[in-house]
Amino acid sequence: MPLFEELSIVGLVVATLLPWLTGTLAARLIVGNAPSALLLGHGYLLGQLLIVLLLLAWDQLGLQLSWWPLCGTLALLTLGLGLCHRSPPVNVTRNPLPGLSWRDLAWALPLSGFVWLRWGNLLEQLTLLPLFPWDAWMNWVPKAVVWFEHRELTPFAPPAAWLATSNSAELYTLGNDQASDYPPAIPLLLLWQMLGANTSDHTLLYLPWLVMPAAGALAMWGHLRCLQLSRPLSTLAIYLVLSIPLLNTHAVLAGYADLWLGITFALGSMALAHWQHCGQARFALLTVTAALFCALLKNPGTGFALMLLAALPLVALPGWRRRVFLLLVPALLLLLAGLLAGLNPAWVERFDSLGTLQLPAHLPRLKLQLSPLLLYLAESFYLKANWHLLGVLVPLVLLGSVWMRGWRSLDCVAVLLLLLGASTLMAVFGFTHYADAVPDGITVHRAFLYIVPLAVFACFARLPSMLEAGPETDRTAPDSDVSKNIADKSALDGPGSWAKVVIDRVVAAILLVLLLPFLLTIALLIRLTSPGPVVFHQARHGLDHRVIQVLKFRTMYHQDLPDSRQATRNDPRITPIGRWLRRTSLDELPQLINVLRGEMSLVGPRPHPVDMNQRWADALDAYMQRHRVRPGITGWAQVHGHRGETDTLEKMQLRLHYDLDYINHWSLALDMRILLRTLLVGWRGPNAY
Amino acid sequence: MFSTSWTKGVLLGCGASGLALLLLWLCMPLIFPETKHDTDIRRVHFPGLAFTPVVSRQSHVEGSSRVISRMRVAHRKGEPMHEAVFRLQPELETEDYRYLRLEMLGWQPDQTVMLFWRSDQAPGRQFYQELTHSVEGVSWHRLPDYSIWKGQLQELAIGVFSQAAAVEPLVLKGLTLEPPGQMAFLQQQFHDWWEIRPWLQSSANRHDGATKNAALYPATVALLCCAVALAVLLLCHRLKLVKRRVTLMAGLIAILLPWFALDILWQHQLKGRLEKNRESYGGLTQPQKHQREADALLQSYAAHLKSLLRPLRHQRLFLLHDTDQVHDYTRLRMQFHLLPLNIFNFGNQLEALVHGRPGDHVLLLSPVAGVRYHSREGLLSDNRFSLAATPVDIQSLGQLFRLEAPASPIPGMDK
Repeated sequence: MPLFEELSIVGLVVATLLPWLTGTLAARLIVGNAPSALLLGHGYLLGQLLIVLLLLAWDQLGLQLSWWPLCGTLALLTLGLGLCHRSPPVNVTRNPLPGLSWRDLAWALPLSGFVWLRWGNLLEQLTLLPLFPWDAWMNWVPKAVVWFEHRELTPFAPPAAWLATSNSAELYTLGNDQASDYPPAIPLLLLWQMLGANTSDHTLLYLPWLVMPAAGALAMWGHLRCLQLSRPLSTLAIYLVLSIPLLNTHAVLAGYADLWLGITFALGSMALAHWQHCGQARFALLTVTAALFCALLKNPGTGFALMLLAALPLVALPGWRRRVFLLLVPALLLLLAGLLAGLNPAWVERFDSLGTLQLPAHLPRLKLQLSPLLLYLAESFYLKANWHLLGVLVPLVLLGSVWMRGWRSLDCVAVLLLLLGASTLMAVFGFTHYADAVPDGITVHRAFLYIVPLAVFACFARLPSMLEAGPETDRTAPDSDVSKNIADKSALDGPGSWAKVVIDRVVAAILLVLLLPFLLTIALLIRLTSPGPVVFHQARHGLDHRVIQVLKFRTMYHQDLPDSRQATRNDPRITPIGRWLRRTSLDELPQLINVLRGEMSLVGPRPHPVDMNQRWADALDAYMQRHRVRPGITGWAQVHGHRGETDTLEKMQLRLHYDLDYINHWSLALDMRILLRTLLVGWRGPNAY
Repeated sequence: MFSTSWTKGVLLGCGASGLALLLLWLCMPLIFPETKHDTDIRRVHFPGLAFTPVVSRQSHVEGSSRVISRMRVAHRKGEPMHEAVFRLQPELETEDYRYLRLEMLGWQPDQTVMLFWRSDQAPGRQFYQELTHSVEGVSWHRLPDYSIWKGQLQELAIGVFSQAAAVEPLVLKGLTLEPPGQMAFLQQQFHDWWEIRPWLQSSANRHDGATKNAALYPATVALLCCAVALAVLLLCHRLKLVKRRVTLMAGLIAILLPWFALDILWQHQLKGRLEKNRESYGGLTQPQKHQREADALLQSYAAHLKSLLRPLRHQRLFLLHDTDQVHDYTRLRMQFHLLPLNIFNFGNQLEALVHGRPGDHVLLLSPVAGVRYHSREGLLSDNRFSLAATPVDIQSLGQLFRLEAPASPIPGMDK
């Protein structure tokens, strides 16, 4: 095929896939057994970063840049990372998600089809077009070509420095006087492709520009699913981000760094949001790597890297929600100032006299001036088709989030980073000489690519709490925040609790009468299938830490010595009939007697064995707060899938979070809702065994 | 998630979007006065056979169409030009018509199609306007401003011009003049949005979604539709007709529907661009693709120069081009093609060559104003500096010299 002539196709395939594999293994090592899409997405970014670091280290060692030694080194690294995987993976996935339904497919398939159609088109165009855009061949590719030809990272210097070192034939300069100082990542990534394909001139060298957004979309899918967003909405998010015209354009007219910075910033932010919502501190490492990559991609990337790093301690420290507004408010003010300040001609004139601002290191000197940014951005977002309707979607979802959940809904780190990124761009284009580039639209639209992928993620990360049933606060939260969810006074402390007790006992009595034949049948089955008593009782904590004897149908083989270990999947102690009873939760029905006795309630936090309570009380500060109310047969956590085995701290954190949320927001209506959900979905779920 | 609120939200969102479209349709004459329709004026259709071929070599009538099977070849500025012109003589008031619908098959992308007319307002003067290309055969065009489109129409003609010979016959099926009206306005706008625009260097900077002078951008229509639908939904919520969750869901749908519409337009653009790229580059190797590029000549010249300067590794080259622009396409493109030569590429004066050294090369990419080579003295000089140099390769595209000594100021001229 003519397309594959004059290049090493094997080398190119290896150059594309090997770093991806390396990165995916590294990502798995960092975060554990996360969803595949998430690992693949972050893995691609990590792989590309590893390439950059490998090439830089290789050159520092004075070695010649030859493909197979480099490739072999990366392969060895991959092998090492693969061997590290032998250790048992840590489960990161939070709540069990329902299976794929035909309704999911009805939404997801057309959208996915459209995404595939789009990307197929872009792939073919990428392979056809010999022309790539201006900045690519002016600023980025020349370095890669020279390095490929010389097989070493020949230094580049600004024109003045080039002239000053006239004796050196090894110092290069570029046609754009600032480009020599640009960070090395993009030319190094191109160099890697060139070394693999053994040519510096081929359309297929630019494949990473197409893969990177796809990898970003994969990671976004993984993160959104971990945030409990449904499949159709997650697919919709992917479709929206991959349908944005300017993003598509930068994928097909490959060679620019803007798209890379946008995706990398989004990936770093997503990892941080994952940590915030799921309490997985390991994801912070992905944020750090993304920050490093941002700084290596473009000069503005340094600013975005600093934003990511600045957000890290915010998530790490307890009670960050209060402090985040200290950043959000200035970010919003800066954003508004950047948009509006240039509209006043008197201010424009006054601002021009303020002079210049020298940024540190090789960062540029900024001349201070104002620009009527609002008008130009309105044109970019609402008149031209650069972003489809992203300019409507993002404000609407954020405002809708505030409308439905209050200002606390903005305390998501992804939203914070989005606002920080936007306000930085507003400051740069609204207050400095970059304003000159705004009217012709050459730079400003591309700069907004830095925050566009994150904008889509930030919107959809808010949707689960807005659209779907769930607690008012985040579904999952780090341990440090659990204690903050304790209300000083619950409605259950007041007269409502009397009504609840009365209703519980009346309903329990009625149910016991109605279900009596059924209960007797179960009892008979238990008695016939295994020796031992029909009902099993276990000491558990009830209201105010009082120990109660909780009744259950016996589901395990009878033992002389009590064994309070939690049942596990495929537990050999469980009888066949017991397995069915546990899966359907019918083994809990005798607790109607506990309810009738006033020891338990129909709805409330599930009672745990006493020794287990002692263990978790040491690990989780607010754990014993569960006993402020009567334990229940079913609960808020159980109808959200948090039932069965709690073998990790994270699982118990989640269960505790829901239990405290229930205590804080109790109402009779909530009890009815939980009972209804128990009847509809409570007997299902992968954790019931 | 497919609860009742979801279903209600989707239905309400679709309903609000539909209502928004209806409201916009009704308000259109207020926003665009030119869409006000005068019921007395009706569209005028001219079938292809009504046209008389004025310029062509071979033509005939097929059904109601006029077919030009061979165009006339003329010579304009020494270049061959294939031409065909069809004419008719209607008697119509120009101001009554705002849009033109042209149905013509066999219109190739490299063919320029012009509309010519004469009117009684300027007898003897011929007016013209270029009509943008349409791949479907049917194209909508906005007629010119009333400053030139005025008076009673005396003559109307369609001209087709191209440097290359037509691949297939031109079939003029018909031409329709449309009076102002909402439908015609929208069809003309839609034609503009649907028009395939090729990738440009500037494509990486923006995507407008329409031609520069479009009266209406698709994103604006989508935004208006979305805004009205959202306003309707908000009103419903304020009147307590809809719950908050359903309102939010419906709002999401009200954004997504116009988003999909915009994306269909974008997908159409991508599809059209892909087809054009297939035509241009499909089945070619990388060097063959370069030969099809706009700067193929520059690339060949760069390859020639590199063959003269081997080995390339330690070669330094000062590139001079007759421009002060930093982002000049030709000089930057040439630098790229000359890689991996070590190139200094700034300015159009010899001053930088003060830092040159014997063995370096200078490339004057085009005649640079003020820079001359004095063959007798073996000196290259401009107004201020001169240097000893030997010509290596002199061509129409550029002149390559080898430095014998660094540039030095011409006495008395170095300020």
